[in-house]
This record gives sequence, C-alpha cells and structure tokens, in this order.
Amino acid sequence: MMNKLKTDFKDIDQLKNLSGQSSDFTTSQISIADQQVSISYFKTLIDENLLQSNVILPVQNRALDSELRKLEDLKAWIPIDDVEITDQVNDIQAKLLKGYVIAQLDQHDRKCALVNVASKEGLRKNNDTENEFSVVGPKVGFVEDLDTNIRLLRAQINIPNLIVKEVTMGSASKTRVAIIYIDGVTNEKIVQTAEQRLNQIDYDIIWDTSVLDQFISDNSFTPFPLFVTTERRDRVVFGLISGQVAIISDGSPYFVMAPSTLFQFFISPEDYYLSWLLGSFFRLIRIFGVVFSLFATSMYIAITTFHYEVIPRDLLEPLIYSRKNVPFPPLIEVLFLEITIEFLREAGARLPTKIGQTLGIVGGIIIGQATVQAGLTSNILVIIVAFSALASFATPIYKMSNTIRFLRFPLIVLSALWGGLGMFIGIVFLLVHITRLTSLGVPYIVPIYPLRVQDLKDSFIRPSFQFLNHRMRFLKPHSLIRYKPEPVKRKKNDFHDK
Amino acid sequence: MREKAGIMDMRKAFLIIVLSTLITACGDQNIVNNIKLIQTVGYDAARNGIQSAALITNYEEVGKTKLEFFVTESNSMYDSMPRLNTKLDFPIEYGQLRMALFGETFARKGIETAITSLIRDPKISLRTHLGVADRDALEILNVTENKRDPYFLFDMIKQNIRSGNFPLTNLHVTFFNFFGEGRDVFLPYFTVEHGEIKIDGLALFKGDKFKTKISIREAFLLKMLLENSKNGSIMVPVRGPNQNRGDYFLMNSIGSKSTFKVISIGPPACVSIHLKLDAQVRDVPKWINLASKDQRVWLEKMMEAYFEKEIQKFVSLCKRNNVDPVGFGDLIRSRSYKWDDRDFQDHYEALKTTVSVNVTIVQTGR
Amino acid sequence: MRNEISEEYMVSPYLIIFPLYVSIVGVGILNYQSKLIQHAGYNAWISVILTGISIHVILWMIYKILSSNRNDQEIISLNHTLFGKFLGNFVNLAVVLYFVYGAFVKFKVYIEMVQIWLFPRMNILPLTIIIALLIYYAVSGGFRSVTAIGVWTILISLPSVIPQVLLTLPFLHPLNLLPLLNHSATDILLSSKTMVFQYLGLETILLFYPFIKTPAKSQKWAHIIVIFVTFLYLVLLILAFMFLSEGQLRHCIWATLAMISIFEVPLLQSLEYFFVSLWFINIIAGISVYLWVACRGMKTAFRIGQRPSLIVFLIAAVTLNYFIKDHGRIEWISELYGTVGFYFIYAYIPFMFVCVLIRKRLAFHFEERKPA
Repeated sequence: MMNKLKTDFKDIDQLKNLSGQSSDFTTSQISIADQQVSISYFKTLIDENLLQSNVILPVQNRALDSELRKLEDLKAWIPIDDVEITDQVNDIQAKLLKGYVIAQLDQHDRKCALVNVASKEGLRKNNDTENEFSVVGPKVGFVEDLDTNIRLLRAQINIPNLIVKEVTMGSASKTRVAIIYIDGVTNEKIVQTAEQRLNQIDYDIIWDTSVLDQFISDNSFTPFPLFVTTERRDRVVFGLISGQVAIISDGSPYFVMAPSTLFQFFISPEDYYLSWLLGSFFRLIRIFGVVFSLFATSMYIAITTFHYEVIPRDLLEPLIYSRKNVPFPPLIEVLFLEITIEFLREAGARLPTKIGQTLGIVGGIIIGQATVQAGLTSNILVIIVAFSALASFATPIYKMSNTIRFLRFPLIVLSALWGGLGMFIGIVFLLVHITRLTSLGVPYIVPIYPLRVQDLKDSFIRPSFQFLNHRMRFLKPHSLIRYKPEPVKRKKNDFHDK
Repeated sequence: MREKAGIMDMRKAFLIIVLSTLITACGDQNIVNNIKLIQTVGYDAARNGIQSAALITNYEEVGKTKLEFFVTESNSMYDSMPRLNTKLDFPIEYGQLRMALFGETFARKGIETAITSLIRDPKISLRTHLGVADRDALEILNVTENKRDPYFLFDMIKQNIRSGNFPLTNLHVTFFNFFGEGRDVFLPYFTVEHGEIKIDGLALFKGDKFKTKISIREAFLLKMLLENSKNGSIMVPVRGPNQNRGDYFLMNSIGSKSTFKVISIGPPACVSIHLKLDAQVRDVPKWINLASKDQRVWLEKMMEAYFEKEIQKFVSLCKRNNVDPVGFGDLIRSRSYKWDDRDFQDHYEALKTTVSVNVTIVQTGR
Repeated sequence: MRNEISEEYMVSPYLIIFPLYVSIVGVGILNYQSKLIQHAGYNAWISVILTGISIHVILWMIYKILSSNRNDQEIISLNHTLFGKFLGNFVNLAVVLYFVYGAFVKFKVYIEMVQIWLFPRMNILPLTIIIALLIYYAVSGGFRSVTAIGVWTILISLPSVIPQVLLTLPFLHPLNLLPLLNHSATDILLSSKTMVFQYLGLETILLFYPFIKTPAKSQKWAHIIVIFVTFLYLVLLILAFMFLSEGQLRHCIWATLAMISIFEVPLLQSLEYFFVSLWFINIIAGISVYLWVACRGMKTAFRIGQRPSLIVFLIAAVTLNYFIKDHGRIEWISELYGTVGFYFIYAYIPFMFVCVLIRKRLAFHFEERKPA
C-alpha cells in the first residue's frame, strides 16, 4: 500500500468511467441533424445556459444546412473561441475539471472537442469563512448551495478521482446530501459505513449537516463531537486528500468530515501555512489552553477547599485576602462566575456583532469589577475564570470549545466534593470515555490508543513537510504516500559557490 | 417493553441513591480563609510540662498583616493543639507550618517527642526548619512579632543556607540525622542582639538532647565537610614574613569537595579527610599582591595550613562533647560488617583524624 | 476457545505491557521500601533483583503453560481439561475469587491511603460508590478499554514520578548503601518473599492471554515489562535508601511520597498531595484489569454473564469496604492476600507447569502408539 495515488488515465473511456461514479457527471447523446454527438461534462462545473445557447443551439442550427462530418466542423460551428480538438487524455482530464464539455462524434472516439462553458457565477457574494477565521491562508468558506460547494471543491481538487455521491434524504425536505471522497485514497469501508448510516436515517427535514452529524454518530451519549464540522475549504480539502469522507447536505455551509479523531479538533489549517516551528508551537499552546481551561477552576476549588497546604507561601497571602470577604464556599463562588461567563457567551452569540462586542466589554469589565467589589467573588478567581474562558476559545472547532466549556461543570462539582481526588476521578471518567468512543468505527483517540507511532508525528506538533508525506495510517488509505519528500539537502548558499 | 421500563426504573432508583449519597459526601473541608494556619511554632519547657507558642497571621487587610500569638501550657506535647483550639474562632491547621523553634531548656531536656510528633503528621512539610533559641523560644518569637512576617525565622535560615555559612538543614535532614546511626543532629542557634534576632551558630545535639553550641565560623567548617559549599565566608588570619602584627582577610568559598577515607575501622578508628576548596579572595591587606603568582601560592599554602588546623580543632571539639555532626560513625559503619553504635561511642574520643586541605584561589575580584 | 473472541476485541502483542504494568504496580510502590527492610535492612536491593529473576522464571512457565495447547489458551479451560468438571470448577472458582480478592485489596489499600493523606474524617461511602461506578464503566468497555486505561496510566503517572524523584539528588547519601553485604542469606530471602507481594498481578495474563493477537509474540513484551518494573522498584528502593537513613525509613512508611515531598515548584508545594490523587488512575487501571479478568473467568467457567458478575463483585467490594475500618484488619487482609498470592505464584503455577508437561508427554506417547 506504499503506492502513490494514480491520476493518469489510459484513454478517455477510462476517464469517463471513473468520472461517471460521481453523480454530477453527465454523459448524454444529442442529435445534430442525423448525427449523434455524445457530450459529457460535470454539471456542477459548467453553466448550462451557456451550453444550451452557445453550443447546442448554434450547432443544431448549422446542422440544418450543412453536414457534420468531422470534429473540426464542430469547432467552426460553435461561436466560442476556446474550443480545442485533441486526443491527449491528460489534456482532456484537466480541461474537463475546469468546466469544459467533451463532445465526441462517437462515444468511444479517442478524439474529442473540448468546449469551454465553465461557470463563473453562483458564488454567494460573501463566501468568507465566518466562524473559523484564520489570519494567514485563504478565507474561502462554503455557502448554502450544494452545487456551488462542490464547484469550490473541484476547483482545488482537480482530478476526476474526486467522487461525489448524492443521496436524497428527508421524507419532507427531499434534501440532496452528498458524500464526497477521493477514489483511490479513501478506504471504501469508510465510505460504505457512511453511506449505510446515512441510508438508515428516517427524518423529515434536514436543516443542516449538523443534524446528519448527530444521526450518523457512533454514540449519542457523549458531549464530544465525533466528527469535525467545518466551513473552511482548505480543511475539507485536507481531510479529503488524507482519506476522510466529507458529507454535506444541500442548504448547509458546513461539511462533516468523517472519521475524525480527537486531535483533529485542535488542528487549525493555519498550522500548515506557518513554518513548522511556529505551527507546532501554536498547536501546543492550543492543547495547553484546553487542559488549562478544563482544569483551572476545579484546581482552584480543590486547593481552596481542601488542599491549602499546596499553596506556596508567597501566594498564601493574596489568596486569603481575596477570599476574605467572600461569604460563599468556593464552589458557589466558581459556579456563579462560570455561569456569568456562559451567559455572556450565549448572549454574545445571539446578538449582532457590534452589540456583541459592547456586551463583552460590559460583561467582562463591569460585572467582573462589580462582583469583586461587592465581595461576591475573589479577584484571583475572576482572573482564573477569564483566562480559562479565553483558553477555551482558542480551540479551532467551535463544537469542541463548547464541549470543553460543558465538561468543566462536572469537574467543578467533583472537585468540590473530593478535592484533587475528585478532579482525578473526573479525569479518569473522561479518559475512559474518550477511549471508548469511536468515530465511524475508528477509535477516537487513535494515534495514542491504539498507539500508532507513525501517526503521532502530526498530532501534538506539526512537523516539517518532508516528514508529512504519508497519510494517516489509521484511516487505512489505499495509497499511503501523498508526495515524494524533498530529500534533505542544504540549500545552496552564495558563500559556498565559488 | 415492560422489562425495559423495569430497567429504567431501576436506573432511576439507582441514580437517586447515588445523588443522595453525594449530598452527604461533603466533609473534611479546609476552606483556606476559614482556618487558622499555624506558621511558626515554639516549644518551651514549663514548670509542669510544656509551653507552646503558635504564631498565626491574621490576614485582615492588604498591607496590614497582623501576627497573632497564642501561648498554651499543657502537660504534654500532644495536648497542646486541642488546648489551643479552645482559644480560636477557626480550626487550626498545621499544613503551612514552616518553622519550629525550641527553647534552650526544652532542647536540653530532649526534643524527641516534638520531632516524632512532627514526622507523624503528613501535613507538615519536610522543608520545615527547626531551630534552637538561647533563651525561651517565646522571647525570640516575640521579637519577630513586629516584623509582620510569620516566616521571618524560616527565611532567615533559608537565606543563611543559600548564601551564608550554614550547612543544609531542614526537617528532613534533622530526621535523617536523628534516626540515622552514627550521626547527630545539628540545628541553627538563635540569639537576640540589640533587640534583633541573630543566628549565632549551630546547636549540636547528642541524641535528642542539646549538648553544645558552635559559632558561625565553625558552622562553615561543618558546611565544607558535609557538602559542596558554594557560599560562605570566613576571616582568615594572616601574618607576613616580616610583619609583626597579624592581619585578617576575607575568604569566600566558591565550591568545595570533601572526601573521607577510612584508614582503619578500629577501635580506635582512623579517618583521613581530604578537602578541596575553591576560594575567592578579595579583601586582602595591602602588602599582599594577588596579581603575583608567588604570593597567591603562598597565600594558598597558608590557608591550607589554617584550615587543617581549624578542622582538627573542630573535630576535637566534637569529640570532647561526644557529638558527631559530621557522621564519622556512619562512615565507620559503612565500612564494617558488624557495627555497634555503643561500641563506637566508647571509642569516639580516641578517633584519629588526619586532614589535608587543598585550596585554589579562583577569583580575586576586579 | 480462540474462535469465540472476535478480532476487534483483541490487542496487539506489545500492548500487554500496559495491563501488566498497572496490575503489578499499585499502592505498594509508594511504601514497599519500609516493609522490605524489616529483614534484610539496607541490603534489601538484592532481594528485589532475586525476586525479579524468579518472576521471570514464573513468567516463562506461564507462557509454556498457555502455549502448550491450541484449545486451552487460558487457565480456566485448562483447569477443566486437567482436573475434570467438578474439581476443575472448584479450582476455577478459587482462581476467580483470588482475582476479586486482589482487586478488593488494591481498592481497600488505596482508600486507606486516601483516608490517611487526604480525608481523615470523611464519610467514605459516597466516594467508594463513585469509584465503583467508574470501574464499572471502565470494565464494561471490554479488554481494549481496560488496556487503554493502562496506556493513560503510564502516560500520566510515570512522567510525573520520575523527574520528581530525581530531584532528591542533593539530599542523597550514597554511604547508606554500604556495607554491601552484612545480612545473612536467609534475611535476604525473607525480604525477597516480602517483595513478591509487589509483583502480584502478573498472573492476570493467565486469563487475558487469548485476547492477544499472535500471543506467542507477546512473551518478549511481558519480559520487558517485568524487567522495567524490577528496574523501577530497584531505582526507587536505592534512592529511598540513599535519601533516608535506616532508622528513619522504619519511621517513614511512605518513602516514595517523602521523596516527592522534598521537591517544590514555584506554583505549588507539597506535591505529594497531588500525587496521592494522581495515583488514583493507576489504582483504577489495576482494579479494572483484575475485575475484568475475574469476570472473564466467571464467563468461561460458569457461563455467567460478565455484567452481572461485575455488578456483584463491585457491590461486594463497596459493602466490605464500608464495614472494614480499622487499620489492623486491613493489614491482615493484605497480608493474607500476599500469602495466597505467594502460593499462587510459586506453587500453583509450577504445579500447572508440571501437569502440562506430563500431559504433553502422554499425548506424545499416545500418538506414537496409535499407528502401532
């Protein structure tokens, strides 16, 4: 399985066969006078009006008075400049995926005419990413139209191996749902499982891909998101090229990537746009943020309620001072502040952006200040809670950051009951839980358990690209190698050239 | 269907049981602002039993730390805490205890009960420092009251270990010496000078009883024998070849290494001590030129002779008082298959030591 | 037997180091030093090496027993074949109860440690119920989940022990280890016998063996983990010997925790409290392996489902734990377990080994005769 993905084709038939697996690929016969012409194209890539008005109609008109004998005639008849006649299969493949139509006089001809009817429209005016922002890298996000989304994908994965399978779902909505994968990369078992799970769903209206996400997930009694949902094109493309399956329903800008592992929720596409040192550093910061955000407040409770002896003496004084006037036990104090932050987040999410910002300031500064002054909470706790809220938002996938915020509460209660031991009870519960989870049958924490040393490379850190040329083994891809790694060599330096 | 409902009922009942037990779970809380943290404690011998003084900080307002003093008298060590509790509004806790001070009379009577009660409480940190006062511990603690720092004595000892003449001591080291065979306990010794507390050397113990006291200078010798003394200073007397009046100069230790060799396990045993010392010499009398190599070598030779003499003097002081802070007994024990502590004690006075010192002047300042 | 277990429940050979590690190492590693010196004093490190070597021999025997026959790859069915139905069932019940007992001892000893270090006055019942629930959740995930907790344990507990222990370096007195040999061979052997208690848990492999893919390959890993554990015990023992004087160690029961407590980080001090809590994950992992093994034994021996037997075991553990309170009885219970375990390892396993050898000989004999 150490082979690379093959994308070259013997002849046009093979190309059409593979492309035919996608449901947006069409081959049809049109009659021009008494001659049958076979045309094939990707529906999602072309402008069908253009095809009708600028190709088929003129040709049919001309056919009334002259006879179509060879392809060159077609080229002359079509009032579009960009028409090319070729039998080079690589050329055909490239153009086909750019929105050209293949016209053949006979279905099995090696020679064909390529007509450019690529669609330029259809993008939503603003298809920037809205929730998964990044500073470096493209900001292309998906929109609420399935065809546009597939076109956006095809623009970046420009091979016919990108297979789009469509199913119709929802007894009332009849929503088109697409399962997208790369033939020759993705293990068909994953595709089959995804298809099977989708087919078993009986639901009336599919509003969003997130609904599907919940229906096909392996375990519904879990706070963890089992699939990465994303609106970023680069993330979806990266997932597809590494062997995941992407699922999207019409009317939703979100893709579900399956199977996902816990680590993928902490990976941002930006990690790959920055140098590997920086990328790794930011990824570690993010993971540390998660750990901090999960445990900071419960640590505070455990220490102030039970284990005062672990407080270093220099911290003892400020801590006692800050708690001196607080009338509640630490549990109530922490719950009060945490819930306040949840209110702020929830309110901020429902309000328009500008008011949301104002609200953040009002909530963050005024409420924090006032509660401390009123002696309801200690100011050290305000700092801790604010930090951990901040850290929880460093997670790139919103669903995961919600999970982290949610998981804090049981940990807080446990540590109020049994201090540090309670916290560890919570941690062990969590660890057992995540080891029992699977995502489309793939273990959720995979590079750690079952241990896959090779896959661990791209988990905590983001190594240099020369080590990243293998696909993740746990996805059991058909071709393991993505590209030939650049041999390690010194870049030539002017000093050493004589 | 019915079976399933039954299972659900069972689950609900189980959940209720669990939740109700959880409610009863709270207990053993020590909320940090609802306890009284004893930070320094002093033990004195009283007429009938023991007098213990506890130093507790009252964190009232920022910047206005007030130290509170609680003195209780009781018949035994173990009774002092419950008695103290009757005087306080919040329960007392020992988890932040950092310093225990023994009064001189108490230390002479024996500190074993105090030490064993400290070791038994898992809350007491092994980094706690112990000390002996040259009077009642209460008096010394009274002086610290106006310092507004409950850890004043603790910091003082710590500072002197890190950058002064003191060998490493803390509760752990004291336990080690106390329970270890062939070594004896030594603790910092406090006195009051001009209304200020001062560390006045080390108190040497025989078993659990305070025996004698050595000065800061001798503490430095002990530090060099016990560990790598990265700090510490001593005044070395010097007399030039054509000088009739003695001078002193200051020597700082940069690093030292002592090696002990057992020549014979006796009795009487014979031990050879070799000490390698890297020194920094800065302030020397005018007539010594540190830039000249000859002078430096001469100075080194002179310091070596001085330290050899001083260490011999220190060892004989230990022998005279029958205390063993260096751990000669342990040294002999490690070389002999059958070892009897009492047997060694009997011949301790006859222990022979040879000392050789090797001094290198590493730095001479600017 | 083998055909019953589907591939997805099995683990790779190297993964057995995790369940083995967690079932061997328990609370004992925090205080075995003071027990060990009762006979051999500061020569006890020799006992650790001796016990380690003998454990390797036992492990080799276990692998010989288990790989002797394709049909009986675990001890339960082997007992059936060797001793017949009635006697076999009796032995099997004993084996299962032995593992349940072991799990209970682990549980009780940890709870006692929590009571000493963290909550001397707390009502312990709710805590035990929560822990029982947690164990139920862990064990019901099957052998893979049990192994996974082992992985987490090693990932979390080892990195947090080793650096802390190494920070005792400025306090070490290498002189304590001398003289090298001043105790009699009997004393050293007696200490070795005490040390066996720290190795109990190894025998769980008798039951989870068929859950390993290509089990023969796992022998290497089993030996590696025993070597590692021996090394760990040896390092902690020697460090404790150099850190504490002999008289001190007799007073200081929790030697490993004492070594940890000397270390301070800027944000926290008294890390031994954190460590007592952290050790929870190790205990849970160990108990899970024991109980999983016991339930598996119940299933293969008596066809009783794993879930009901697990529930019964847990309820029994919680109830017993509630009623046993005084330290003397806990000591007695764990000593009894030590004795039973000693005979299990050094009597039962060699006996089985001999039985299997004889059976093999006989089978060979029969086959030779048959054609004639």
